[in-house]
Amino acid sequence: MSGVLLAALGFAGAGFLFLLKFLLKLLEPLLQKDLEEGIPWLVARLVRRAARKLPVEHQQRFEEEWLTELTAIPGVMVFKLRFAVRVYLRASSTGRAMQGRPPWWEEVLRRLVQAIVRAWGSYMAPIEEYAARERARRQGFGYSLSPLVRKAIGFLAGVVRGAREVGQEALEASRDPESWEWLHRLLDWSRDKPDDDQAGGTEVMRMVIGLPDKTVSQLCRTVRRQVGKVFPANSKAPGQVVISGESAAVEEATRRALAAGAKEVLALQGEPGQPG
Amino acid sequence: MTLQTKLVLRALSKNPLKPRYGLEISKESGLPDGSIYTILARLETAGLLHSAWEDIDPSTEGRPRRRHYWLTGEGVRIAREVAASTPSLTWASRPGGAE
Repeated sequence: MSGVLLAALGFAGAGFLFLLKFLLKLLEPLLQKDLEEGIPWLVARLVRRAARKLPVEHQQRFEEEWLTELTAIPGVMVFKLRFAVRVYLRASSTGRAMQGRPPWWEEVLRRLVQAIVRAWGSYMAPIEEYAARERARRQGFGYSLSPLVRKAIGFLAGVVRGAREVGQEALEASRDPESWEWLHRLLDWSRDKPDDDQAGGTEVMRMVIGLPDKTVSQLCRTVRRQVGKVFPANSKAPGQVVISGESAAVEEATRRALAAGAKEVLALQGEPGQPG
Repeated sequence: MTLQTKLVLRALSKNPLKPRYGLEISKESGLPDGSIYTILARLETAGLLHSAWEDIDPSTEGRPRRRHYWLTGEGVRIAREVAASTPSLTWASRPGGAE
């Protein structure tokens, strides 16, 4: 029984192969004609489509250039097809290059870095403000904190400040359109960054009188984004807020506080938090 | 600067004033044909490369005119720097490239 089944399967297979061969023989001239005419048509179409991905003013030039290059490619039609496919796949990048824009992957990476830094900043700013306030209190007013807590706050402030600066530098550097240069700049910066404690002597303080604490805090945040470091260091009484930070940023915060309706902004001397 | 850009600049620096068309540049730089126009466009936008149509009569030559590229003064300077700093650079020497 199994012998009969095997013989039947053998006959069926042979019949199928015979039919397939017959059909291929029949279609061969048609397929050949299709390939001969189809590939050049496809190549020209790919090149024209690629040119259309470029800025309008360059389309004609590159279509002509690429079609000319095709005539110089030796060998079978498949090589021309390979050229056309490569041109087509890179046409978007070519268009970006003509507009002086960075490659797409670099733009994606830059946006990613910016998003991370923005998120980082929004989490870190309140901690940094708190740390700055605590630092000012313990230096100026003998705030009753145990030495261990003081050290912990000082350490936290240093870590947060350093991390924020790295983030800000990354954000600024990531806006640089030079390919990968921003990464090198970031690495160089982290090696060459001067120690803040050694730099010293650049911090100034002012007391803003006649503005709510919240307004001063918001104002400092805005100036931090645009000019430099300035923080509300201490609130001596409602409507009397000490701000401290880099001189340029403090100057700008002073100007804005007066414009926002502060009665007076007094210059203070000494360490942040100490009365002048 | 990417590896491909360096290879193109190195290839062009060998004879900076000789005008070359795209296929010639890809052959000399060792890069796949059809993949160098992005680099050429970037270099041209940056002012390191000039390009112009070949001045021929297509009916006499029996072929269409080609777009020729050659380095500008600044391009020559940078290409020489690249060539001096990366004497053994090849497309095959990239990470993952065939040796």
